[in-house]
Amino acid sequence: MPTPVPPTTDAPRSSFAIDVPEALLARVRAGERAAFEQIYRRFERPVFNLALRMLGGAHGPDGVEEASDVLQETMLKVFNKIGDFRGAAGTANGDGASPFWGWVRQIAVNETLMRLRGQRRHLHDVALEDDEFAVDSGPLPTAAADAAALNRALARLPTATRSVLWLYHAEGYTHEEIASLMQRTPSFSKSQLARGGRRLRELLEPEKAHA
Amino acid sequence: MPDTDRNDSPADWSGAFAALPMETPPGGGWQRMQRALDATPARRSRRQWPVWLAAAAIGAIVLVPVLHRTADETATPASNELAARKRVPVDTSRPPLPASKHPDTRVATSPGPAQPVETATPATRTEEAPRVAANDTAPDPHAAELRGQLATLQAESAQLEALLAIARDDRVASASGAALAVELDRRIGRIDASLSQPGLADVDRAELWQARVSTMRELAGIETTQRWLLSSGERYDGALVSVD
Repeated sequence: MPTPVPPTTDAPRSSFAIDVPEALLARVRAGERAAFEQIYRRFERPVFNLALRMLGGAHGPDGVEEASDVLQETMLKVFNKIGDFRGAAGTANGDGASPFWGWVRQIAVNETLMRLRGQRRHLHDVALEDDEFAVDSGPLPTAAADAAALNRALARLPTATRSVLWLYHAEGYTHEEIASLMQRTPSFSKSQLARGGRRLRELLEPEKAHA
Repeated sequence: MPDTDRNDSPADWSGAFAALPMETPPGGGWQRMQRALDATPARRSRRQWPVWLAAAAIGAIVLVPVLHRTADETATPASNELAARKRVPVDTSRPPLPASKHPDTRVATSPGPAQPVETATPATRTEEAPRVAANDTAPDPHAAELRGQLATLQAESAQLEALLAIARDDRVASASGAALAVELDRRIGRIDASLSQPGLADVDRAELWQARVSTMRELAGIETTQRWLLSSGERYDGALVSVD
């Protein structure tokens, strides 16, 4: 069974945060298919979930198929490039080495972003770098606790905005890290986060938005 | 870790996102994966990686050229260094660079017994070993200049992104123009993936950003030309196609 990594900060706990025994990684490096299946089984849901959320396809067969493709491409890269991984299997060693799950997650995020760009969805969402940073504040709309409503609202956001929201709020990436992943500035990430929060609130509280 | 204080209570967006049920992929994913693994001969272990070694050698030739030797021998300004590297174009048709390109990751970082640097070919080892040592012992004298160039390239890239967002119109595009744009988009995606590798050396990063800006210029040229031709009733090629 996967061993969840206990949270050490107040950052959101990524669904990828799963410790993997070093011995298992060694077997995968040696090309053992059964060992890789264990890796696949541990990470298939986090990878699929991340891709589905960022692609915005939670409602529809196309989105599921796309996210499945991301899952497959990600895991193929994990298998083929595991010899390049130089970090630690888990996070408990405290030596600062990047954990295996972080490496898998980065491949998954890159695959998803490449797919978005390849389908030319990303550029349409480009915001001005100096977009206003008005922070979304106040209590969360009650509808945010409704998974279906929140899913629908997320799906209506522009791709870049949704991606930034997910990477920041669900995966705990910093603005600098998001900027690096998306080849934009931290200001871009901050503006998308602020804009996305406001937009989500409007979508979840339409009566207040039009009041 | 996020930049700002977070509230773990379910009353914030992080809590709300965390409460979303995790989606499950359709069944048969592993079987599909196995077929894909069977279809593409994988580099199962380092000892069985002649193709990988060749790719690494090519990557080293493309991205880590004679530059380091010259940098060690003479105090070449960073701009000359980057200019020299520009003569060897980045091969963006390749998959993203492996993380092991970076000195930090090339040096074994795994806990426990030190591991030999098995992934380096003899050629890359001889070229990159001094670079790792230099990075560890003394700051790169051209680092500030490279960072300045990097900032300039990033600013131009952001401007081109904004220009593309305005110029691009997917509803109507010429067949050849659309195909070119898609290929350039893919190339940019590969560059982006390479750029997001952790801890790239500044000079490698600058070269990738240069490649990104160059590719975006090409893309912007195609998109703006298409828009201009369309506005004047002309076509990029003989066949206008509706993409949507």
